[in-house]
Amino acid sequence: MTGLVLADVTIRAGGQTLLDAFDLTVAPGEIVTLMGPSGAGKSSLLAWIAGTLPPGIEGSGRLGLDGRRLDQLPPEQRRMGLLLQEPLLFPHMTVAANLVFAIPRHVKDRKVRRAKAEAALAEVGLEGLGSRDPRTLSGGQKSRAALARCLLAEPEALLLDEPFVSLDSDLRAEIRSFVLARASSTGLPVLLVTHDQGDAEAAAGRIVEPWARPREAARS
Amino acid sequence: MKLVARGLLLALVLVPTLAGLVGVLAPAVGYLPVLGFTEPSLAPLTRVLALPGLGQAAAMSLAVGLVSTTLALLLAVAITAGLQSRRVSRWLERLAAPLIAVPHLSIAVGAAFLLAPSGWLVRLVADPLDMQTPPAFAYGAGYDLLVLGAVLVLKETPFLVAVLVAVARSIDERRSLALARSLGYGDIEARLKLLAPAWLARSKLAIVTVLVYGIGNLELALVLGPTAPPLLPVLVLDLMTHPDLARRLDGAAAALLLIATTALGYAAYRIGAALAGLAFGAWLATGPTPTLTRWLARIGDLATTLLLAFLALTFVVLALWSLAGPWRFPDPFPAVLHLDLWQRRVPDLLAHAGTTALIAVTTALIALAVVLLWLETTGRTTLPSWLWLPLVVPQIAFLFGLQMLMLVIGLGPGLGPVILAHLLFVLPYTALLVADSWADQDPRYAAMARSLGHGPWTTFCKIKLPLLKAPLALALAVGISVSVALYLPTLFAGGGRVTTLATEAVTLAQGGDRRLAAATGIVLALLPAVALLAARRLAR
Repeated sequence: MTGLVLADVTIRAGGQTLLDAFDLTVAPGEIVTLMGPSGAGKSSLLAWIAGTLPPGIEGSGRLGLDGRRLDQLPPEQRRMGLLLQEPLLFPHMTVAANLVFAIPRHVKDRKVRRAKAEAALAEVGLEGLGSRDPRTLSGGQKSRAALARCLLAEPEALLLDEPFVSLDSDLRAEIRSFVLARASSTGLPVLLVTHDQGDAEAAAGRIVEPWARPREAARS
Repeated sequence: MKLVARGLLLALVLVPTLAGLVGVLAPAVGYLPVLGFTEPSLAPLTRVLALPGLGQAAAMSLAVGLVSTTLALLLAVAITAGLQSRRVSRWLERLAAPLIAVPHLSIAVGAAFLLAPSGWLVRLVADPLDMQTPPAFAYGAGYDLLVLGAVLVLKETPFLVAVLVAVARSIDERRSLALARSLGYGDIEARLKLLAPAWLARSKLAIVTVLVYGIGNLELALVLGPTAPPLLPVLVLDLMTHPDLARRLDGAAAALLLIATTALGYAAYRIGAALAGLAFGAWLATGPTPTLTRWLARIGDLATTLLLAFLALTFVVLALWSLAGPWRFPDPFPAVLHLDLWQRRVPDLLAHAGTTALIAVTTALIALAVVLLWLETTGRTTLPSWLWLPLVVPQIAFLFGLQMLMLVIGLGPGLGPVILAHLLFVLPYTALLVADSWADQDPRYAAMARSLGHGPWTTFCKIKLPLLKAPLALALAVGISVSVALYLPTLFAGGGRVTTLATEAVTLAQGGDRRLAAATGIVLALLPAVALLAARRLAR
């Protein structure tokens, strides 16, 4: 089966079940928006897919990508591109070093690696900023650099965890359309989680709300 | 890997400490097969209890430990409560790290030259007071204990301040303070009444460490303590190093008594703390007492200033003695100052400093590696509480047992055993410092690196370590400082063949060359200072 496939995914934190027997398929080139209120477990689901669940939270279920089984693999072999709430550029590296860090090892030549990073920076409109300390970039520039870094790692799916919340509203629309356009141009399965209706509309794809139903059922 | 890390920590800290305790307990009840004693008996204990001066030795050790710990603690609480509001305290906060790093021994040697009956202070007033001989009151156990206690207070107050400040920072105090101020309490009184109990409750281990050191440390007792009878740890050492090997049983029995004395000290501290709690409750019920608080703050400031002046003077007198030509009593200053000693003794001093640094850096690096391995592979950040065991048992008690065991398994003294012995004391501090910052780091950076395709090892080396550069450098510097200051572990595990600045300082201060003792004290204090400066530079 092609695309990103989640089957029978259950996530528990403490004694609480955040997600129960969840199924989802994201086709290549599709953007699926997963909506839910804060604290519902959206980030935990993405962390489970990426393989980076923090201790104390447990997930089970099957995860596949283009027919490859991922859920038993360590994070570095899953090839998930992560964009999180904050850009998380490594503060002890320059912007360019952040990007070079993401380039896979099959690109061996130092000069080629460096050139690839420069090209990726240019592609997101950050020419010449490679030697800067990430802390000196503006919010929008950081988001663009994080996107460039994410794509350089040659991911096979993209996971966006409310990547626009830390931006103020003017910038937000601009960066959002930029990131979503770049994401869909990759032709990869894209999973966006958000609690913001605007994000969901901008993504213009299928909207899934796994946390809505059980709550209504409980109420009735 | 996880098992390796756990095993390493156990093997380096818990096993030797427990083995050392067994190694002292067995001979104390007459069992030491290596010397041919196989019949358990109470004879060693009865012999030691019958020693003249034993009761006085124990009482003096207990008193000096309890009083110095209490004073240092009261002062540290006062300083921490006033930290945001007064100038003297801010000074001390800035000085806290270097003050903690100064080895006890450097200050002890300086204090001896400053406060001894024929010391510098007496010399300074000898002329105006027309004094031809040193004053009589300064020859006596009481005066020695006073000097020893002052050095302990000077050294332990900054340590306790650092601990309390770290605890205070982890407690959100703004709301309690705002509330208290609206009820008419000043800043300092509000901190003392509302926050200090929480600080103390979370600093128990550090306080016990200070108390145990005060009662059971050997090096200060040797340099500053009374001699007839000496303090209990010195008595233990005398028996343990007695030429008649059979007396080692008595040494073990005396070590057991030292442990009992320490336990008694702890019980007394708990009772004292409970009584203080009652008094504190009464103070809480009186409502705002701004005048009293002002006086408390003033006393705290005065004591802090005195301590800092004392510290400065100890280093001035060390410098003076290291440069002094002939300096007869009661001249206030040496007749000539010259660099003779430094020029003649540089090779010796450098050699000892080299050995000291080699041991300290190796120990600190091993400790850091073990702690990082433990944190990375176990995924836990709460340290096992047995890690503090070597710090809450008097050193001489279990180190002697360890030496006995080395004898039994045929491990000769040398540099390797010295490093292993130092690890017992360096590892807990390293673990404490590193675990906190390890727990505070943002795990998402590592998660991001893994998702970008890097394995755990690369993530550890390229992301986690560099992000923690500053606290790791500090932990190394503290580890080095702890190791540099250690005397007894070097003495026992080195079998007298490994000479560091600390062992040299104790030997010289007990009646060697005064000038060389002063110079050794200075170089001894320089090593931790260099380590701290390097750590700060590296952290930038």
